[in-house]
Formats: sequence, structure tokens, C-alpha cells
Amino acid sequence: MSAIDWIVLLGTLVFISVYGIYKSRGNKDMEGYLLGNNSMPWYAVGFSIMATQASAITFLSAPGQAFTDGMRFLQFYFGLPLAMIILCITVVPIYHRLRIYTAYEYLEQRFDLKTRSLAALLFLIQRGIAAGLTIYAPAIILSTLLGWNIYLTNIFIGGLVILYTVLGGTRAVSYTQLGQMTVILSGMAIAAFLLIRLLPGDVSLSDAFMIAGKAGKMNIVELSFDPSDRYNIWSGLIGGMFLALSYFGTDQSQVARYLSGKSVTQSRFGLIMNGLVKIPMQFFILLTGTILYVFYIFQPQPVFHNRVETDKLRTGAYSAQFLQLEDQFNNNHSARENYVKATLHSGELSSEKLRSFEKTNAVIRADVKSLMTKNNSASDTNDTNYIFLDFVIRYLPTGIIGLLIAVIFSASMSSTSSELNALASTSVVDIYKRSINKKGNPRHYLGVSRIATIIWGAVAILVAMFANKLGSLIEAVNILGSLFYGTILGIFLTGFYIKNVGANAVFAAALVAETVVVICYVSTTISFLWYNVIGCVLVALISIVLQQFLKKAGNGTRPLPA
Amino acid sequence: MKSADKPIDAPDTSKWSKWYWGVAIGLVIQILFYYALTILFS
Repeated sequence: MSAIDWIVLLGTLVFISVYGIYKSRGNKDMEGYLLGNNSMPWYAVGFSIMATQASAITFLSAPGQAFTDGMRFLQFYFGLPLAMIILCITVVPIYHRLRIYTAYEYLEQRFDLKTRSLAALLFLIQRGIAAGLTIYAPAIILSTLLGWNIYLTNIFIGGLVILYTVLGGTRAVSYTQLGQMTVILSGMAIAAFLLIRLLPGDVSLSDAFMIAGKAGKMNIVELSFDPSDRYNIWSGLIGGMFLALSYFGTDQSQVARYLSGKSVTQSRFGLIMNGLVKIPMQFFILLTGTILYVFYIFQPQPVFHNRVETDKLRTGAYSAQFLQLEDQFNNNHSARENYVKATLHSGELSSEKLRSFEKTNAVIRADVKSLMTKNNSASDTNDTNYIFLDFVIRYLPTGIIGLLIAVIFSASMSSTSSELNALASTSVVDIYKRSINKKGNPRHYLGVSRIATIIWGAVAILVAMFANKLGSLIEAVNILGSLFYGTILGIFLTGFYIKNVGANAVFAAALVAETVVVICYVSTTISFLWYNVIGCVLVALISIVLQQFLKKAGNGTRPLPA
Repeated sequence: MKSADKPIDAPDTSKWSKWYWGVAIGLVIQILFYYALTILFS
């Protein structure tokens, strides 16, 4: 990177830190620190919801996902608008009326303390791990750019985020997200525009779509039903809806965003904005990855997009074998380029032929990965998250590189700080203040909230140390969420809609459902999106059955809070 | 007490139904558009 890129990058990081510290002024108690002043307008709520969900992982991993697997990942988001409608009708008015700090407070009012604590605990586990992945995403940038040790990079980035979050509090998180989301969208638009301009002069955008389609990358909608297939329209609409219901309805990092709305109306409009904008936004991010695939047909493509790993191989014991494989890859690449150039405008471009080139590439890449593992068993053999970044560094002009990396850092810091803030809220409000120390003064709880933020930040850094073993980050985050979200959602939906089910029944049902979901993950090929449906439905059904056996009056059943 | 127009267990769809329908119809139109792209470029 040039000096200008560094100035842009460091300038943004310093600005965010200073802005966060500036906004933290006046935080004298836990309420101000964790909840802000509940005064956000709908557009700020909407941007905040989107910024929390769209972290650096979205920016880095999604284009790589489209590059390798095509655009079918878009179907993952099809259930989201439906979830927004259901949440607007059901959850938002309840949360606002009850004036709660965290989503899990509702569960104690509806069921009992142990149900609230169980849901809070499940949230803390999965979100604590997910926060680690959010830190890891920008850390891979520095390790690639500077050749830094990834573990030290995680500590550096995580430490910066902890500092900003501890000093900033939730108000700074919300205000900075509005601007950060604007910067993210602008950055992606600039990158896509420059990428299209870098295509050969005789390759139009329509030609690019056709090439991508023939190579199987425009597989946006798949109608076939296969429970073991990760992304098709059914898993997206049904499984995706359950995942979105759980994420936006019961995950404190999102609930806190729309609880910050001035009123029910402002919160609803924020969620509706998310329902309308999210899919088109993801479409354009994935489309960028697809166009990038076409771009690399006409430009030299690295056999593996993580240059740190290939440099290790190039200078290691298996150098000769690697160079041979690299030659084979380059030859196949040249043959593919010549074939596409010769057939593109004659209408003879064959899907089978193009896919045969892809298969050859895949075989060579598998051999390279095998060499990497032989050379160093700790090698990161998944380069999905490096594909877009590698392009940015190699092909975008000075200044823009710094801007895009600053965007990635901004997005990641924003998401991570939001997550750490939610983890601290849940730890302090649902566990510490409720079950450990009920008699502290406001300053005490403010101090505990800051300590909780630091502890969760440290946990996230530890998780980030192992994140390179998880493959595509965006999938890893969603698989992790799906392991827990279905059960949590089941508890909440049972509370909302099945009025005669009591605390003991739903608690036991949740334990059984979570066990079944984990068994499904470990020992079946069922796609992860279906875990959300399985967990949720099992909690509801089992709790109804159990309740029939617990018919004693007042056995954990409480009236719906009004 | 924050604003909430109806009892919490009564679906509030009166003045919001047009927004909900808008989101749902928007989703259908998008899926049809993406499916058309899939067919067109396959």
C-alpha cells in the first residue's frame, strides 16, 4: 500500500475512535451506556440494523462465495422480508410495551427465570463466538497485506475494537453506523464500477453475465427441493425466514438496534426498510463476485488467492511440485481464455466445455491445497475470503485501496462493537444484575458493563485465533447461528402464541430441541438452514405435549404480560 | 409508556397492512426477476 492508502486507512480508524470517545460523554449509568436514550428515527434504526448484520464478513466473503459457488447464496436472504413483517406485527409492539432492556427479560415475565437464563446463555455462547469471526475478518487483511502473524493481528484489531466499544457505549455505536453504512455502500459501488471498467473492451456486461451463466455462476434461484442442499428457494424461504426471525427477533445485538427507535412506528419502519433493501444489496455484492470471476478469465489468475500461503509453498520443500501445478493451472487458464474469446461472439460458447475447464482448475487447486497441508499442517487451505481482497490490492488504484480497506475496518468495528455491547447488556442485565448482585448503584453497574465488554472482547479475540479453520466466514457465522437460533426462537414463539404452555414444559422442550439440533449437525447431512426450523418446531411441539402431562394449576404458567 | 396502538396479542394490521403487502409483493417480484436471470443466462 502507498502512503496515501495508509493515510486514508489510519485517518478513518483514528476518526472512528475519537468519534466514539466523543459520543461516550455523559454515560453516567448502565442505562445510558447500554441502551442510549431511545431516540433514534426510523432511517437510523434501519441503517443500524443493516450495519450490524453487514460486517466486513459480508464485504469480504460474499463476493468470494459467488466467485466459487455462484450466486445461489442469495436465496439465503429470501425469507428475511417475511420475517420483518412477522416481527413488525408481533414482536416490536410487545418489546416496546414492556419497556425491556434485553429480549430475554420478556421470557422471565412470560415464563420464569431459568427460561430467561437459558436463552441468555445460548445467546452469549453463539454471539461470543460470532464476535470472534467478526474480528478475524479484517485481521486477515493485515496478515495478507503486511505478512503479519495472523494471531498478533487478531489481538491488534480486537484490542482496538475493545477500546472503542468500552469508551463509546451504545450511543456511539448507533450514530457511527449510519455513516459507516453509507461508506460501505459507496465503497462497494466504486469497486463494482471499477471492476466493470477493467473488463476487456469487447466484453459487455451482458456478455459477462452470459459467460458467468455458462460457467454455472448465475444459479440465483434453484427450485429443486433437497434437504442436504444448502441453498435452494425452499431452504431460503422457510429456513431463512426462521433464521431471520430468530436473529432479528431474539438476538440482542439486533433487538437493541430497534429498541433504540423513538416509537413502535419508527422501529417498524426501520425493519421494513431492512426487508426492502437487504436482498438487492446482497444481490449486488454477489454480482460483484460473479463479474470478478469473468474478469479473471481475461486476466492472470493466481492458482490460490492467499499469497501468503503460496509464498510459503514457493519457498518450501515442495516448491518444484507447486511450480509444476502452477504451470498446469496457467496453461488451463490460457486455454479457457482463448476458448471464451473464440466463441463468445459466435454464439458457440458451450456450458459443458467451460465447466470442464472449471473442473480441471478445481483438480489442480485441490492438489495445491494438498501440497500446502503437506508443507505445513497449519496452512489455511480456504481462499474464499481472499478472492475479493486479492483483486482490490492488485488492480484498484492508489487511494481507493486505502478507502476500501478503511470501509472494511469501519464495517467490522461497527459490527463488533454492536455485538460486544449486546453481550455486555445480556451478561449484566440478565445474569449479573438479575442473579448475582441486585443492589449495586448506577456507577457500579456502569463499571461492570465496561468490564463485561472487555471480557467479551477478550473471548472474541481467542475465538478469532481459530477462525481460519472454519472455511468461508459468512457460512461459518450462519451455521453457528443456526445451531442455537431455532431453539431460542422456539422459546419466544411459544411464549408469544401458545398461551397455555408453562415454564417447565418450554424449558425441558428447549433442552431436548437443542440436543436434537446438535445431533443433526454432527451426524446428518441436513443443511444448516433447516436447523432453525427443526429447533423451533420441536420446542413448540414438545412443550405442548409436555404441558399436557403438567396440568397442575400454576405449574410454571403465567399470564401473558400486558 | 411507549406508543403501542393495540393490545399486544392482537395483530396490528390496520394501518400497516399496505406496508406489509408492499414488502411481500416486492419479494415475489424480486424472486421472479432473479429466476428470469437464472433462466436467461443458464
